[in-house]
Amino acid sequence: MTFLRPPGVTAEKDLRSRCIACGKCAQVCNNACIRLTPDGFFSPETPKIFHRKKPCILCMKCGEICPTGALRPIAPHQARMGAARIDKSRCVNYRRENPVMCWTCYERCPLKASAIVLERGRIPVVTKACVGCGVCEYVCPADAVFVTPSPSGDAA
Amino acid sequence: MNVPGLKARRRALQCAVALLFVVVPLLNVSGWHFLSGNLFSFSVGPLPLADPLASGQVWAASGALTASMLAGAGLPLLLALVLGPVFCSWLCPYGLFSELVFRFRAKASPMNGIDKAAQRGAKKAAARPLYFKICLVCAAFAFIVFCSPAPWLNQLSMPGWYSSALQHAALHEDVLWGAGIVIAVLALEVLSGRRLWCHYVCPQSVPLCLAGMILPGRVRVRFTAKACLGRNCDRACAAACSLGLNPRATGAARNPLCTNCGDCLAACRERGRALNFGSGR
Repeated sequence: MTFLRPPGVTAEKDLRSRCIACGKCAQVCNNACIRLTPDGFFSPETPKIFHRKKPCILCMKCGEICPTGALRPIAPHQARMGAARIDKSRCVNYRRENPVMCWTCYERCPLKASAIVLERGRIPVVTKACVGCGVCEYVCPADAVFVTPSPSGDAA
Repeated sequence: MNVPGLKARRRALQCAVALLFVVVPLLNVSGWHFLSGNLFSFSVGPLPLADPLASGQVWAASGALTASMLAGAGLPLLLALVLGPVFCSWLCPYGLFSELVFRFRAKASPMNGIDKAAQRGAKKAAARPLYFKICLVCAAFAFIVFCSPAPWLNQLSMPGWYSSALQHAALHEDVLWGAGIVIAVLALEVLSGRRLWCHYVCPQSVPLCLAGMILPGRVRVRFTAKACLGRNCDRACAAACSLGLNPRATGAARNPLCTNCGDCLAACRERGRALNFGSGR
């Protein structure tokens, strides 16, 4: 089971072995999006982000405050939470017949113009710079963006 | 130290700590972060504090320890080195609840909580709960190192559950699942009439008790046999000990689980003043 982790997580293995559930990351988070929940029945609580309820805004404070090194103080572009994917059949900008132009994901992306770029000035495209914070999925009015969390241990 | 006021001061301190973990999450939510964390790891500005057992588990699970966790564990251990496991009786919020439940229960059926073997001063029986807890901690560490590297023993931390439940409540208006665990364990103590968790299970107290055993000259409850009224006494000191230990044990028979709460001293005030805090064996 993979969860969307806070941006300070550099490796799932590190998180599980080091997190003592002190909850400081959740307390310091600017967007209060980090929740500590058990990974399974009677397993220790670890920080997760349920981005459809509240996405990460890449304030990166979690990594700075973590006392155990489960989360690391890294820059927003170094985060490896997951990756976003745009469903072209749903995104209004991909449909030629649609008169509405929507750049919500582009405008609200914390890594604006880097993780999501506008192709030909109007079509949003997710690049490899996307770290998977989940803001685009949260804001998309057409429900066309989906963030897949990184599988365990897949971090830079 | 002024013994009559000892218990009042201790209660005040316990209540202050219990209240601290109600207030801090609320302050954090409103954007004030000078204090943060729970009883696994707490920050007072730049000063880190950590549960020594949590530090030990992180080290066992990951093979590395941050400076913050190392320094954080240092202060509680230093306190235990000099004063014994006073955290349990003077600071721990669960200790407060457990004591209150015990006192409430003891009123209903007195002397129920006294460990008969420990009261006889039998050395082996006295330290038995500590041996049990040490075995529990060792087994958990073996599990952490060889099977599943995660700080599993935190699941048995009642003060941890108490403080994290309050964090959840402040941040997410969550279901207080941690509070449910604390209440369930307290219910068990009401039924048994003994302070089961603190005495037989709580793994967090193990590093503190062990640290307290290192220095022969640390602060302990000292018994002056000459001053004791002996047979003419109603043994109020033993009845006062909520952990069911024998306050009149001396030397090697003295129980390493004693948390220096001072309840026995207060009970002995009107009965010869044979018990006092002092340093040395």
